[in-house]
Amino acid sequence: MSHNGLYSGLYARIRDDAELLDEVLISLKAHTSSPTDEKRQKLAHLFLGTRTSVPSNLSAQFFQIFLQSEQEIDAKQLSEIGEALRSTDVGASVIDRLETLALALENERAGMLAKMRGQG
Amino acid sequence: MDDYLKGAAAQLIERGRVLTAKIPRDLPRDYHTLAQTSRQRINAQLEHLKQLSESPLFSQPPYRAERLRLFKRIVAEMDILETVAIAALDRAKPDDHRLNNLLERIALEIRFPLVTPVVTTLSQQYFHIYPELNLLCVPLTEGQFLLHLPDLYHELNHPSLVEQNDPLIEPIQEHFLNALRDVLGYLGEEESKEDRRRGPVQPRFLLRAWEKAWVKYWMTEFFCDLFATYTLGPAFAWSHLHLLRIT
Repeated sequence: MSHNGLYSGLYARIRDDAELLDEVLISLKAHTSSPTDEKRQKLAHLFLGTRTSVPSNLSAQFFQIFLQSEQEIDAKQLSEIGEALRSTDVGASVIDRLETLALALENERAGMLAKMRGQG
Repeated sequence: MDDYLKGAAAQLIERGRVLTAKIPRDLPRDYHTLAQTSRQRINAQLEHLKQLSESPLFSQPPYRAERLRLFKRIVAEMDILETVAIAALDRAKPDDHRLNNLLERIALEIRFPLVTPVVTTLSQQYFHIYPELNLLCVPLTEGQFLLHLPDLYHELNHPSLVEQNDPLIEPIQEHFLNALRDVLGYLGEEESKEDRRRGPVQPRFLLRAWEKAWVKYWMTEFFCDLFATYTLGPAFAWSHLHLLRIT
């Protein structure tokens, strides 16, 4: 097992989460999003981790641990964001919060890629 | 920024086309899954890039941060495709073919439930796998020696931890999640004890570092080691004797 091996699986998870978060952010800012949108529901699930399927729970576990450990967000704050995404009213403060998290995820992705290339 | 992205996008689209043309057409069937995955991923990135450069939304100030992040991820994805996937296809040679045959036989013998990964000898960092490319990388001469080949079994398990919607492999994912919950539960209890003690902060930092390492890396590696031990037997442990710290 090498550094590459450690990071390559995790890299894909972080990249996909970062992609999902940016896509939902764009639709929220453009006011084209509703709580029933598939991507928004998927993102809400990552914050809340309530779906029953195992792979889906695994993704939520990784996402939540990342945010809790790297961004020092507690479980209560995570579920507040998740619940806001499930509601019809996502306020500016939640969008700002999501923007900060999107930046953090992107930095984590870029850092992980650098490590995979032996630059980290 | 708009002009830069316009120029960079045009170059990236051309790069994607050149990469697709680089995929050899005369490789054995073992490589077809990698060739197909590479084509699909290149096309997906190019499509994404076209949307990014053509949609008027992205030139508006509120969306610029998202545009830049999306663009950076497209560039990164194209880099991985070029330096890993297309390089493996373009440089495939008889040594690689032999290892692919060997891995196919291993997969049959252990009744591996997923598509057998493609093997390349282009690794610069020991054995590792790219689960979403289903590409297993080994060092240049590894196919000529026996001692480290048990690591092929370890690497085979990585894709099973990320594959979605496959009832055949969900049991291992379920056990993975349960094991992770047990570890996090234990570490959480230890953290609570430390909080009650109101002692120095160092133990709490250590517990959080362990928590992160278990979730991000250790549990995955632990399960891949278990998979290799169950499928190959004691040879997997013996082949790593040199890693033991003997006191």
